Amino acid sequence: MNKVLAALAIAAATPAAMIAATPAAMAQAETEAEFVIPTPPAGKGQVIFYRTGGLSGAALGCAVFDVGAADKLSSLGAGRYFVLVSEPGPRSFTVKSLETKDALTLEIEPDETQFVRCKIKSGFMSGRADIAPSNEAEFRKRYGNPKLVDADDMSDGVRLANYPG
Amino acid sequence: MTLLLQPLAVAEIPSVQASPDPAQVAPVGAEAAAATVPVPALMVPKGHPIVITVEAEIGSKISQTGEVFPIRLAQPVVIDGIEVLPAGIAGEGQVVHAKKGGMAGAAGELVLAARYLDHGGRRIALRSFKFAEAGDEILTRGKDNVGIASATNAVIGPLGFLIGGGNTIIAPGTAATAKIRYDEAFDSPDPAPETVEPSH
Repeated sequence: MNKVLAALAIAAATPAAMIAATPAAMAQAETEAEFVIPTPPAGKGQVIFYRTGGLSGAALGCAVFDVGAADKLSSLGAGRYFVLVSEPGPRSFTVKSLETKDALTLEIEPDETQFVRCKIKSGFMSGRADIAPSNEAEFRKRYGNPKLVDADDMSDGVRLANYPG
Repeated sequence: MTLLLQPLAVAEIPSVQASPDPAQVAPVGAEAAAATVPVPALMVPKGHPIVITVEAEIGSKISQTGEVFPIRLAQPVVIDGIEVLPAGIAGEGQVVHAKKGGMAGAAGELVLAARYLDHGGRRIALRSFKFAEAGDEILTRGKDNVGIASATNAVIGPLGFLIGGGNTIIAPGTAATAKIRYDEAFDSPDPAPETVEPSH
């Protein structure tokens, strides 16, 4: 009987708790909506790599490499992003997965920010990472809750730009 | 240390001007004045934004990486009320990355760069090509069918792999923005000659 009463009490309290929590959640959403895109250092450009959340390939990482490099720049989990500061000029990136790899070349421009989206598409055995050019509008629309990749999942150079100090 | 040096440097300037070397005294005359007084230049600073149009059909399926394409200045560049680059001058852009739409809904991709405008034989270097996209439009990418392909795979098996992604096609006349890459100086137009009233 006591368990039933406790369950009823919890059930009754849940909507109140949710309502009480709503302003905080909204405030958080507002804070997140004000995500400020960092300014690249003078004379350098930057690329924001991001991956939207979602069930498709959620368990897989999207590891981003410079073409020909053995060490990854970083790895994007679902709903994560990182900023790559770069010297201006053409630069090619690749993402690798078990079945295939995908590549994208950008022209990094001084004092400009570009956007690259990673998506995990279906594969025969596992998901296939796919990177594609994006823009700020899409980044902001599709990515309302930006979460930075964990520091230990970045190369030293990328970590320095994303976790200064 | 710098603070000490600066007043000294300033103090030296009047003494040099006060006792010019006779051998270096400029001759008096209109020609000499024209030779020594520089014509004020109109400067278009690097990073100055411009509006251009792509003048050929290019696309993720029909274009190749490295391919060049014609562009045109869509709006004149005006500095201090003076037109230094007229609308309509031609130039060149380049395809930085082109990839056809692929299996499993992968969209075609197209990354472009603006290279230069030709102004009477002078090349004005450009950078920072960006499509003038409106709303949700993303002209660097075709229609992304990854979601549909994944859903098809989940429901009816591997037929989803056969669903292709869309390609992006840029029609001639498509507007974009770019920026002037370097500081560019242009001569000011000669002032209008003064009209002298004939004496009667």
